[in-house]
Amino acid sequence: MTRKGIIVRWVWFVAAVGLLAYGLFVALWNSPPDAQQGNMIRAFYYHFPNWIGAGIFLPLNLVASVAYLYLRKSNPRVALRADSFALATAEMGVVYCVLGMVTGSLWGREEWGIWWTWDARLTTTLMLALIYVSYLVLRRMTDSSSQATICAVLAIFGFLDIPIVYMSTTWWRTQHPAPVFGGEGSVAHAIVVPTVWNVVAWVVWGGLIVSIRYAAEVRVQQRSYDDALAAIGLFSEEKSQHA
Amino acid sequence: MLRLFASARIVPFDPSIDTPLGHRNLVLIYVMVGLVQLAYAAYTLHKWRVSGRQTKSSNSLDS
Repeated sequence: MTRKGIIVRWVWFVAAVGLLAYGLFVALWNSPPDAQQGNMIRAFYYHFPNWIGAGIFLPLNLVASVAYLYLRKSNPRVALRADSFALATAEMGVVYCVLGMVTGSLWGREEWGIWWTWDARLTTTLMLALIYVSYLVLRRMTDSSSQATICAVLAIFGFLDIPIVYMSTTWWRTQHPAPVFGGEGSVAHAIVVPTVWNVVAWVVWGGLIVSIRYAAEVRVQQRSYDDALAAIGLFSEEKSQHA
Repeated sequence: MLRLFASARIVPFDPSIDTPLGHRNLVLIYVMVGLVQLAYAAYTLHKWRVSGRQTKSSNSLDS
């Protein structure tokens, strides 16, 4: 990370913390309780942004994975950056996914009387989380030259679950409510405002963390790539001396 | 910490419309989201520092 990059990230950090603080203020103290759910509606303001986060970072993981597969032979250095970005977005996506499930479960215990149910939305969401957890485990467990390729292919298959998760409340009868935004009927302004602030805040925060994780991973991969090139160089030098 | 958070009434609670279980879960949601995100941010910073140290040491080995 250059000096300019560090300054940009500090500014980004201050903006993210400011947005999070304001989002928390609006969610807890500057919005009314709901007529049906009471103060439990405030759970939504910290539940929904997690799914928007997962809905942004997991598709970015797909884009980076496809870019890696496309560039790995023609431009290995750019492919290496794409692979680093894929890792950073997958980790952030999993964090959002897990938080989305756990906050949903805590809300469900109060509103439905159960922690979990095997309906289509929850089951496909659990599958999504498990697919991306397996992606991260695969990255840690394998150490071969084809590791990035295998992970990129898994990421493409993993992404296929995202449209199924999104459409599950439309395709099947589910315990999970239908989409609040973009669904039938209108949403009260008192709910929209804290939701939007918290979505923006958590996405800005997620972007910052992804950018730092990406920079760290690029460093590591760049170094091992340079080491590999140096080893090949030494090897070919030795070979030419013997010949 | 959770008890302190709940007793300080930082998270709104109205006994006429909320249940103690719902309030506890609401507190848990806010605390957990904050802590997990902070923990992952700390992990990311750790990775960043370690990668910097490794790069420096490999550069010094080269020279």
